[in-house]
Amino acid sequence: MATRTIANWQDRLATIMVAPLMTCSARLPVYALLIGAFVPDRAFGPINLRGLTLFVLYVAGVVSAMAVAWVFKRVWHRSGYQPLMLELPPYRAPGLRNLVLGLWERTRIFLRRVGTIIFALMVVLWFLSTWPVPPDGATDQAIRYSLAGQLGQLLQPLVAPIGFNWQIAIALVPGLAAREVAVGALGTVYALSAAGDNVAEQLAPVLAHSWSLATAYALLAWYVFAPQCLSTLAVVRRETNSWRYPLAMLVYLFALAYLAAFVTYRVALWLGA
Amino acid sequence: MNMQSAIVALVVLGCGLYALWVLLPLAARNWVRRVVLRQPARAADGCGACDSCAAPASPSGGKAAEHVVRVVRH
Repeated sequence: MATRTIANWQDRLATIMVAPLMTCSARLPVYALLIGAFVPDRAFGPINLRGLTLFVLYVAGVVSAMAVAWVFKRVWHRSGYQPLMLELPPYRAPGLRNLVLGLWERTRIFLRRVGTIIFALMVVLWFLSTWPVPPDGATDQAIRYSLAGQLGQLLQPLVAPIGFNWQIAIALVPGLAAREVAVGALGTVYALSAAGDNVAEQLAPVLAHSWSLATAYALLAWYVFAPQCLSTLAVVRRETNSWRYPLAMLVYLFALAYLAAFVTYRVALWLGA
Repeated sequence: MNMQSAIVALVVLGCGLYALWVLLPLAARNWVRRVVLRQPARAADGCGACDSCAAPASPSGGKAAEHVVRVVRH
């Protein structure tokens, strides 16, 4: 929507195409979970290592957006230099009241989503992860026989080169609708994969125990680029009045996410992670 | 089917329908409103309704790029 102020169509299109690469608040739950589980809480010089990791993820989004926009404007939709003049508001120091109000607003919105769409999708995922029940005499985990488990195992060969297991493959599917659903989906899948008392364990230690560091970094890299927000694609369709651009966006973001996760996973393995 | 299974089936079905409705693109939702529910279609929101944003509807209905001319005074 904000791109409507850009008069030049080529520039506007380039901005629309790279907008999903900017880190949004929906990615934060995934980042917080994985960084909390895998990145040690120690100082790296004067900076906390977890904070630095989160900052690097944000920077990766910005840098990749600039790179993609550069490629887009020179390869697909070539256009000359267009001057852009924008009226910027005066910069002010943030007021505490505004900060608290902003935090409260974001928290309220997130809690509302947790209680509505995320809860609804988790109920559906729970059903798909428990139905149909395993056949008599089955020795494996019950979730492996369910619809979601079968889908996860079907997708596993596709995601194995980037270090993802079948549980992550299941969590990626509802995460397509909205990124923040992925954390709940991982919780549901791992709770149903566990046996006995382990069901109630916290997710972060379970992930730290189940995944390698390389897998965690690959998933973080995946989440920097993956197009996991249906509403974004719907708005791109509306703004460009064409299916061509949302489809192109979907393909290039998936390709970028897969490539980034693959490179991250292989480099992390090479470094011994 | 016992009572517990019936309640679970109702909850799952309700959640599935709710999630489908919320995630459905506006055009498809408007089609359901017009054809199935026989209600008037709604105009596009101001944005993609990310994070349950309640932005007002855009004057152009989200169709064409607006040519904005700003006058800057410092």
